[in-house]
Amino acid sequence: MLHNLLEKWFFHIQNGGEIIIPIFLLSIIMWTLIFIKISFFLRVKKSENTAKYVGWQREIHSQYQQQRSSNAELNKKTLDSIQSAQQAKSMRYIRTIMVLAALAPLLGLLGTVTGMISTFDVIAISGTGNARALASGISEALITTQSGLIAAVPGMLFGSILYSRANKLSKRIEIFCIGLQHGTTSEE
Amino acid sequence: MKKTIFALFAVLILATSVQAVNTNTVSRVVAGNLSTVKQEARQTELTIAEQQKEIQQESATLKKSIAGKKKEFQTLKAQYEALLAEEKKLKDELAEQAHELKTIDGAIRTSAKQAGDYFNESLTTPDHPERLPVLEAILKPNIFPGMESIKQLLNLYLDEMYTGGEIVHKNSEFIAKDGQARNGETIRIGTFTTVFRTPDGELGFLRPDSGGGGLTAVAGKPGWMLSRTINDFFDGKSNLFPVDISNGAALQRLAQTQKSFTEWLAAGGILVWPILLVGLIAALIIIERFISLSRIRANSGKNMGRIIELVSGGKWSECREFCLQKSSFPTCRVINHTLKYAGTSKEILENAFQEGLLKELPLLERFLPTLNVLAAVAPLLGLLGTVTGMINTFQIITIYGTGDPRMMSGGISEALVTTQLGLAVAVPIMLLHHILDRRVDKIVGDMEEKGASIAVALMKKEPATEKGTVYGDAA
Repeated sequence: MLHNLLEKWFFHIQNGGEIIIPIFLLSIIMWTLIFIKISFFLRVKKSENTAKYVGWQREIHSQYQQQRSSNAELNKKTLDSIQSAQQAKSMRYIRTIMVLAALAPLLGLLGTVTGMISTFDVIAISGTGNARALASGISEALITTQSGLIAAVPGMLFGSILYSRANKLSKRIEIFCIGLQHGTTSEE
Repeated sequence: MKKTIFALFAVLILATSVQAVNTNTVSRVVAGNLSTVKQEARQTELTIAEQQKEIQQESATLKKSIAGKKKEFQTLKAQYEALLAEEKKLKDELAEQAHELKTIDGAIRTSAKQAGDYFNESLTTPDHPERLPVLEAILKPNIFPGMESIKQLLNLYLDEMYTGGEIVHKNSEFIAKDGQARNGETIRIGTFTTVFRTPDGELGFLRPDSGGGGLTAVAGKPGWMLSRTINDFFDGKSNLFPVDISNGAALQRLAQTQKSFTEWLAAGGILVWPILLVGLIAALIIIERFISLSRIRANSGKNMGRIIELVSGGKWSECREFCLQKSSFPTCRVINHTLKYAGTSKEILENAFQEGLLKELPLLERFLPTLNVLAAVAPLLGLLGTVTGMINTFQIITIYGTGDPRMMSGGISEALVTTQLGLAVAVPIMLLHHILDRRVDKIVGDMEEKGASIAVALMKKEPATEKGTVYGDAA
């Protein structure tokens, strides 16, 4: 099964022309980032379920305790900066994933155009009689589009899923920060 | 016979008349006459009978001969008809056999012609020049190619099969790409491929001439990978050799499809230039951004410790000097700007920080929106070029019709070049824009964070503000 899949992939890479290589690299990078992000969210979720204080909550809290002062407004500012840093951390890579997912079909289109050019070149030389000569260009054209789409669709999907996850997380961070502020101000 | 009878009657009449004259004498005479006459008559009758008999005999023999002749005629006629039938049969047979013969003749000539075409295209023919005269002899008109020719033809093919299994490495003469006869090493792999190497190291593939007498180099060069393999084979270093199983068609295509970059660009028409311009501008912007952003260091955490230390120590001027030293950090510049207002009220400090940030931001984000626009424009320009090219193609179709796909497809291929170029320009621009954007984001984030912490540090000093300014002024 896996062997067959690999064979299919190699066949595609062989027949897809040069454009398939950047698509392949792009999808590898994209999937790496997706996995990094997924594992990040999974860890967050796991610690949210088990521990009393989640990693980011502890981080925010310790940083805040270090930097806080007696001035309430100052504390708010401090908290804001800590919060934005945490939010940036949760949002990290997601835009990259989305840009890569957007680039994949463009690269596929580029490969299609390249393949079509070679197909029409063949027609210009040998007419429409030689179907075998035409087929290589057409297969290049279609395989690159296919690969581009195959790379793009899950990228878009995961990108948006991860984006909403990150959004929720940053909302939680915000809420936590507000709560922290209230807690500390009421303490005083 | 009638005469005799008539004479008889005359004699009778005469006799009667004579009787009248002298009966006695007459009667005597008559009696005598009568007897003679009777005798004569009897004689005559006899002769008549005789003659009749003769005539009858004659007629009988004649009848008999007629019957014989008729019979003979009948047999001869039958014979003649039989011969005619035989002739017809033989003629049919002849016609049939002549047709068969013609078919055989045609078949031999056709196969000889095919053989001629094949051997003219074959790479082995230049090594075996004796083949062509043989074929010419078979193809000579007005001579029936007999069993001998068939054998010769068969031998030619058997010979070809044998040479198809050979690998021949030798020095030979061929017509080079510039049209001049050259000498060089050649390797022939069966009937598939012949490669040459000239003494000055030029490599190339060979095709037989249209006449079949010699070899001509194919225009176009093998790529460097192919060249290395071929060179290794020439030097005996490896057993790998590229073989063209399409018997030359692929080689010709190789030569025809090797378009140079400038040719490729020229094929795209006039809209190639704006796309290239977009690409050039984008490349310049990207280089400029990368250089200027690489000078700007984002992570100023290390410096921040010192700055906050100085600020909390109230050493304003030292801190400002330190910030000036580290002015490659935009964060430090912002802090420097904020520190100018140290000791004033919170709002002013905040505004000063915002002002410093706003001053830095355009420097960092310079050209990035332009880059975005360029990335969006490049594929559009490419599409425009394609549409323009398509319009030209269809104008050609309105003139010449769709009869020749070659004519149209050349135009379509040219039309697509601009789209290709547009996409090829846009993709890296988008990617690099994203990278630059992220870097700017990081720097801005760093500034905001550090700015907030410096504001905190300054405000912590707030109770000692008056003292701080005094210190600062004193220093």
